[in-house]
Amino acid sequence: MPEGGITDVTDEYEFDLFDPKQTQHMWPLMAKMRADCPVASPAPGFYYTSRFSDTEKVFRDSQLFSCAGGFRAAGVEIPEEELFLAELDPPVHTVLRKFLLKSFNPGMARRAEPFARTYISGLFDDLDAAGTGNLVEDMSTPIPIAVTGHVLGVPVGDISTLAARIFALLHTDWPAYGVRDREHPEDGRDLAGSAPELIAYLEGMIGARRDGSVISDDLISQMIAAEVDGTRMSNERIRSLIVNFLSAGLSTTNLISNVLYRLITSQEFDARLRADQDLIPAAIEESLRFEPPVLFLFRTVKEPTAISEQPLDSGNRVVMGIASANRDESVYEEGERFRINRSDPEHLAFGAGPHLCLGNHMARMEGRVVVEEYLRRYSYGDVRLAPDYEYELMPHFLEYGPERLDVVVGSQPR
Amino acid sequence: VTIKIQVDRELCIGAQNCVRLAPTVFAIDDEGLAVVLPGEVPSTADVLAAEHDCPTHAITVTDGES
Repeated sequence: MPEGGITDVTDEYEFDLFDPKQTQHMWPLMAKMRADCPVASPAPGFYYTSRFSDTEKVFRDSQLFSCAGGFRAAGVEIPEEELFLAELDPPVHTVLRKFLLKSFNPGMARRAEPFARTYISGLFDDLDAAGTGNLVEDMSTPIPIAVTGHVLGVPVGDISTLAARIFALLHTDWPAYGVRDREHPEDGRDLAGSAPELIAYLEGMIGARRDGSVISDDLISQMIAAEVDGTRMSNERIRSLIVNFLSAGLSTTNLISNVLYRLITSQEFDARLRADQDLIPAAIEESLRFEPPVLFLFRTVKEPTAISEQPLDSGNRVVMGIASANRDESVYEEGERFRINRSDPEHLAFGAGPHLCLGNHMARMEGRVVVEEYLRRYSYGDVRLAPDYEYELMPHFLEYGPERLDVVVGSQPR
Repeated sequence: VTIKIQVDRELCIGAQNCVRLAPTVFAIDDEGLAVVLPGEVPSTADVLAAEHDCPTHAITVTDGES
């Protein structure tokens, strides 16, 4: 039976949603919320859903729960054409998603797999040649950018520069505030002002396809040619979507890092997958469930409602507790343990409903190929954490994965 | 009771609400769109919930033959 909810912030469940030191380390608090207060209020006007069923319901219901506001700071206005898919509501979202689904589907992941395998294998070659490396920087960060870039039509030679520019943009104030530096807002507004080189590069790619100097069936060309709801997409919309796809790849970065870290540090995990490679997809799913790359996401309540008996007002923000829902004991036996179990219901790491991660097939494919190539190339112990390595999480309030993975590579005498 | 389930692939946006609600009835194909699986429908209630929950109203459930 649901317990009686609380109506206001109580000290017991209060936490700072924007402080990674808290949000990345609250597994015991999540368990307590799931048991005693399924919809707790961590801050005034914010309600956190800790159970699977509630979280899934909010994800699925775009009528009652709006994406507007997304992950921007309060009061920040972003030009409509620069909004990410995760910030758009119907009808615009529906039309765009319908078009993009023609590309972002299981077939796309299958067609991109040979490229991904060659690219990933090449990164491992580089790592072997160097003998040491930081797998977050050398593997997990470039892989999603390269594979998404490949689909978009970015030449391989441009990948590292593009990765660096996307990474730099996400480390400005632009994602939350719409300007490069919130202390000096006049220095650069919107995407073009916050990341001029990146946008110039993307405008070059779009322009070359518009004027016919590049003829291709890559995704950028398809976006240019597409009639979406009777109109063509503007350059602003296209380049924003490109930034959207490339930056969303950073969640795949966490997936790859989390799985690699486990392979390096758990002989049992390594041995299990080595013995039965058919388990690799289930191992990827378990990583996504147990350590989801995105810990939670936001929605805004559109009209008064209630979840698990907690009344919600219009304008309240719902924090969909992906990380907590994924460990809900009523859905996952021994939810707090990492264990590979093919029959578990699908986790919420990719969300659910109309905004279900468009790149989920790509992320799963990339994670699987990394593991396959790793196992093919190394024995357990060939890749070891650097002697002075200390595990630290990426300092981001809703991302979950290591900041660095310093390793030494080479077969060791045994 | 026999029911007829149709997915309008022009409307489907791959939200997969139907797959979550009735996993033995609906699946996602290579194009990312919902398809109706062959075979018996174990629970009409799940299928009606999927029809109701589809964000683009791409699912139609009707009675009987044709």
